[in-house]
Amino acid sequence: MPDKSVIIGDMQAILPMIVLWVTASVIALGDVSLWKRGNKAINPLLAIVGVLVAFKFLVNTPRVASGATAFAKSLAIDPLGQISGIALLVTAVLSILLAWTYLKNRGLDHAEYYVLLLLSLTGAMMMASANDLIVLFLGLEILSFGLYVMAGFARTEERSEEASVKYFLLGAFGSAFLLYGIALVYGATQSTNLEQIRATLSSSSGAPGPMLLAGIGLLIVGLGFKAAIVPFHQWTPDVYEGAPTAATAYMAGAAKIGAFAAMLRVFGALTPVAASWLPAIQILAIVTMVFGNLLAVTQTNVKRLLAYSSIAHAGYLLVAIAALPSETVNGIASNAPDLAVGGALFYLFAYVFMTLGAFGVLVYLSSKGRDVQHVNDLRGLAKREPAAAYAMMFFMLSLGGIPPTMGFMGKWQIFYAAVTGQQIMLAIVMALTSAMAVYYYLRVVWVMCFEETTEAAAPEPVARTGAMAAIMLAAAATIVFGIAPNLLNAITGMGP
Amino acid sequence: MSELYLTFAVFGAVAVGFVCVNLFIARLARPSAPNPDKLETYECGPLPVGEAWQQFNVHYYLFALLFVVFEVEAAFLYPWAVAYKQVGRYAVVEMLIFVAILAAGLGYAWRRKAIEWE
Repeated sequence: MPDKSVIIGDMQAILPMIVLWVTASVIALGDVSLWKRGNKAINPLLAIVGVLVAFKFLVNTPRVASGATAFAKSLAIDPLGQISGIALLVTAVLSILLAWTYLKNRGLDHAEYYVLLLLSLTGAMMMASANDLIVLFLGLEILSFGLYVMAGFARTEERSEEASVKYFLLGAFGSAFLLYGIALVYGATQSTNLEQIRATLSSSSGAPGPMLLAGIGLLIVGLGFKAAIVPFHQWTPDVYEGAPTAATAYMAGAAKIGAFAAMLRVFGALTPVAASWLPAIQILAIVTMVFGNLLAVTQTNVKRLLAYSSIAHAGYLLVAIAALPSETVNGIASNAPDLAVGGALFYLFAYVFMTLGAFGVLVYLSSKGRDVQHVNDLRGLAKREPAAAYAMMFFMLSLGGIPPTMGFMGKWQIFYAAVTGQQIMLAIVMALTSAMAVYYYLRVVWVMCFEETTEAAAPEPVARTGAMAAIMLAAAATIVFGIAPNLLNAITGMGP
Repeated sequence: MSELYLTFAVFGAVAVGFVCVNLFIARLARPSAPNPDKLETYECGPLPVGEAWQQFNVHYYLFALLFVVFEVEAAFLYPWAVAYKQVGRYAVVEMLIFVAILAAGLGYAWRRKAIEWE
């Protein structure tokens, strides 16, 4: 029998995940037995309570310097896992609020949505604190399974079904690549534990062998699929467009955080052989930033526009990954890796607030027979719905990286990390493509403020409180943390 | 290293050879009496009706899923039953949690009428 203190320590490490899982089970079972699909408001309420309790436990977990682990070193208890966990829980709260409104207005109000959301959130949190490639894979699958079903949640709509099947097939493909990569890396290093892999790699001398190179390549492809990096991004616009808007918002946040937390860990562990994968990441970052932004310019569907924008943001985040291995610059120890991790985490927070906020505005405007997603649907919004329109304006300015919003602070931090880590080329491409992005973000603002609406006034949706609350929370965060970024660091315990 | 692969190669050759040689011997020894009935799909005796390329009731998949869940449970219960004397109370609690999770899933499926045939 394992030592009692070990068991308690292990359980404490996964307490937030246990809370989420228990909440999901309570909702699923309660909905079929206790409140018998009658009281619909209880499901999102329970879900939010569950997430908040998980948040409390996560924040209360003692902050230990990196190095502490649980479950025989397969889970890391470190700031990266905890802070990405907080970002995931924030995503969940906003998504539940959005779903509350969206599902009700679209006649999709089933408890299973919240169950799937909470369960996939558990997977994402596991992924964010995985210290072992197998646990990382497990978390990724738990995350993805929930997302596949949520993408097809509007079962009667062909678009939604298409999105679900497309996401499932390509996601399964990506998972297979990742698994093959894990197998090859295991073959080359005799371990799936990330710490162990790092130790093995730094003690071995000479160029990495072909097996390790192939393994790293497959890991990049597999994670690239999940994080929507060009050229593995083809599924993104279609899935984002077809999935119910509330599900798209959750997917955009949770999948991105999970994938990038995992990338920070995996490539952090692969730092000793950085020379072999850094060029690939640099090229992918440039291609992703350029194509993500270029393709977004021509979009007339806001969901597709945000999909391409999320690809572009993945490119900016890759710049942070590329700055990870710069542990020494010109022979002097550099703090670029810490800056990169901190910058990426801050950027993920910014990304969550502005992207979920922007999707939230679409959710806010959607009603039973009218799923708002075309740019033209936003015409004259500033007059019809001033609150939503001005919030949307802040999200667009933030996505474009204009001060004093959070998007600017995030970009600035990654930019700074890239310059410190001597990734000058990437920093330049990042600045140029960000300037390009401002065009299509501001076009949405233009349409909202300066074009007249052509359609008759739409009937008022049944419920909008949840979406309004989410929009206001996101807008407040975008502005407050944009002006005072240290506040976020203080709340999450992030930063140096 | 190469000896290890040699073992695999020999094993593969024997496996393929076994099938080929046996089919060849059978061909020499057996009488040949072609009959159109022999080309029919075998369905436990009854004549096949219609094409197999059709939509099946989605309930089949639900049954299959539930079946797999309990198959996996059984697969985990055997090693547990062998080891639990050494591990003690910890193992009992752990298995109880595991079975409870599966039972909750079954209960949910039951209440959602997943195992009722309509």
